[in-house]
Amino acid sequence: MSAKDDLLLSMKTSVVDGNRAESERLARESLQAGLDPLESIDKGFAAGIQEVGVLWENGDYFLPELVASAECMKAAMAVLEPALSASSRQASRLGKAVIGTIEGDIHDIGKNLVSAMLQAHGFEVLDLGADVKLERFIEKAEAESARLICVSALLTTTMVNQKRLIELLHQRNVRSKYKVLVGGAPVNQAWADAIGADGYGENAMAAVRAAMALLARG
Amino acid sequence: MAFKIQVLSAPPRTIEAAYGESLSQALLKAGFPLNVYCGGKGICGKCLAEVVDGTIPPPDQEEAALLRRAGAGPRFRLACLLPVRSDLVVKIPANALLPRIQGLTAGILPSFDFDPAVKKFLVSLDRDRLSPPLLEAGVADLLKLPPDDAWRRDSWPLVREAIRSAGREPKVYTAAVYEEKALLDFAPGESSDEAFGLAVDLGTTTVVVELVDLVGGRILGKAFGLNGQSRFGADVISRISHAILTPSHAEELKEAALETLSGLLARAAAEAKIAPESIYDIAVAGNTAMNHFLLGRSVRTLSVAPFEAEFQALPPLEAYDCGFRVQRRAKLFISPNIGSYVGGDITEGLLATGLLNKPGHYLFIDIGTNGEIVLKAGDRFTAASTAAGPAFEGASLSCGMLAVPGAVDRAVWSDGALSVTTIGNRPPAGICGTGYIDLLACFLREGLISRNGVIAGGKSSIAVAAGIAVSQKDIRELQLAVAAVRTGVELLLRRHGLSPRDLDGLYLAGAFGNYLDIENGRAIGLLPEINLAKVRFVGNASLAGARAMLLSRRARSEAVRIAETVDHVPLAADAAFQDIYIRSLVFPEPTIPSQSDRKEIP
Repeated sequence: MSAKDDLLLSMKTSVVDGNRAESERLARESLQAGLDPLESIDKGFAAGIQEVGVLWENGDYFLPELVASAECMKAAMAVLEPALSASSRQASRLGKAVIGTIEGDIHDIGKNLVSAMLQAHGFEVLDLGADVKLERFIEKAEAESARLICVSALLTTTMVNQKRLIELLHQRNVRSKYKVLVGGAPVNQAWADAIGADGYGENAMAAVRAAMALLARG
Repeated sequence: MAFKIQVLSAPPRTIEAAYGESLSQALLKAGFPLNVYCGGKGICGKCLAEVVDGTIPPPDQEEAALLRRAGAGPRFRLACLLPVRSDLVVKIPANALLPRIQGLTAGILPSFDFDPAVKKFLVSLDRDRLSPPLLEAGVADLLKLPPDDAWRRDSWPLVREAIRSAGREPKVYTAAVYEEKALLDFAPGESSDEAFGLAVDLGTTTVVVELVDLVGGRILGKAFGLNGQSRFGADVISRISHAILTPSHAEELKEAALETLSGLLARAAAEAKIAPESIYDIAVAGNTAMNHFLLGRSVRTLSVAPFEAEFQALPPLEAYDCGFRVQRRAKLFISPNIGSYVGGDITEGLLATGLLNKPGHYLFIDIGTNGEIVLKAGDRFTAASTAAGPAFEGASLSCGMLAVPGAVDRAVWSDGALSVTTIGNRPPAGICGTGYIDLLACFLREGLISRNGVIAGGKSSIAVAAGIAVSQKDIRELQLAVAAVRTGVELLLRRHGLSPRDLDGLYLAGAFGNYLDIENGRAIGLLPEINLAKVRFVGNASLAGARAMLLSRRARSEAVRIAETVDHVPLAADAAFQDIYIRSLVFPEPTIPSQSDRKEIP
């Protein structure tokens, strides 16, 4: 195995192990060694995140591991991103997503996890926080030319606002510009279908898969 | 100038009294448990004292009448009407002592003096009293009620009607008085020993009622059952969602609660052999959503952030108008809410622990669908509710069930194998909350699961009994529930710069808390690292508190003070919430049960 392959494998391992300091160190080392930052992201760190996804699906990883790995990814990207050429930067981005916890709801751990995982997988994420007014989702998506709107609701009393958001998008005649992804403890596929959302994620990893599938379909 | 009063009855003592002070005042000041039922107004005739020696003035006409009615012997006087003007030697008969309040003096509950809000008195109306110009003010005076507008408007018509129906004959009547302010009942005949109250623990899942004797302080009957609102949703949030859809839904929830309560009331009344019409007072301890539903109040503000209650404390309500088929003028006291979802049930729980007046740092935890946590840090009280979810009630778990016969409720690891017990020694049908706690702790200690909750050896479940297992997904659900409570405890402690070591005690309330194995609870992180000897189980503290509301006016004002004193904090708004929550999903380091711990148990 070449020194480069060694380095890429270490990057992947650091993300899988959730070793943030190591990920950051390896990102710097890769730049000093003259590695293409895009390659480091794709074959090193992002490969690690993909492995984490597999471990999650198998039930070996749970939220703490997920969070730790997302932190690794974030630390590595902070080092590598400034070194990317404009075109590479474009290539490293899957798309822009606006995300927030719906109006009336303040529970945002789930939303934060989805936000972190989307970022770890290459999405540019604009996190609006919790108790986000319906209008604000649309304003932000319009202003930033986002493609995805991700809306979380943790209570049966507030999930009705997800429906209102979709209605509002229709009223503003902008519904077709965005893919709307819904999630949260009381939300399920049936609810997503009923309110006319484009996708649903049962958990953070599933949300990422759904987001990727939506953008792939265009 | 002070006189000496020698009290011969147990507990015998000699006390001092100032000139002209009433004997009852002197006895009460010295801490003697004299029953001054009417508050020393000379109307109940209960505070009998036998004067063995000393110089005393003769009784006046009113006192003589009361003494006659009480069947008192020649040396007997009413302590509240007897001014001390010389040294005395007295004996206090047993029936003049405060009744022992059942269920309040036992265990950890602080004892409150017997002083119910509703009291009944006998009133004799002779020919003189019945003559019209004096009658109205005269009866008010007999009952020591102010003859004001409220008296004329609300109380007097009751008296007038009773006298009319009794044919204006001289008679003994029985009056029921509320808080020394309002007349609830006035009827011919002697029924002063028939005054009952209903204590209610209005839980989201289970409702318990207790019939309490407001004269003797005894518990006469008890009944419990499932909250009929359950058909509209198992948890508070789903019922709130149901209620806010249309006004008819809110009405359904109210009716369901009333239906449940009237069924339980009928059962308890039958057991106690009393008529519901002799119930004069109801005290309800319920969480915020429950008391809002019961009164048909809007839960809209509870449904969205910042999740505020429509009311905190309410003045006593008219029980009959609120849907209770009890005495027509009976009162309904709703235990005051602390804030947001932390309701009157927690207020009563805190009252029952006596924490308000206890120095030191204490934690109070009531685990149900919401895990409610109150920290007393010095003189500051902070409450929070955590979304533990229904996992501890067995919901959402593959083999989960309520703590009913057949449920695995205990598990131990011995001789290299798991051994379990079930409720009622039935064949295992599932696992209840306490069973899951024990199982998780065993699995952790034996290395069957890792600290991050993964089942060892790549298996997807661990067998517990024939056809019963704990799955990987179950463990994840339990990790989330445990972490919610653990995060709440840690955040509250942090806010006050405390660690579990600083705690002087931990109170566990509620059915789940009561059967929880403390050591195992600590092993999985559900309970903080606190010495076993400092943990107290308080049982159904909400019900005990509701009972105290009926029997002691001081307990009632204390409950109001608790609700005002305790601050509610929304945990999710805390910046450290997420980090701590994620960290809390990892089980604590396994520890060998400490021997030193055990030695401290008395």
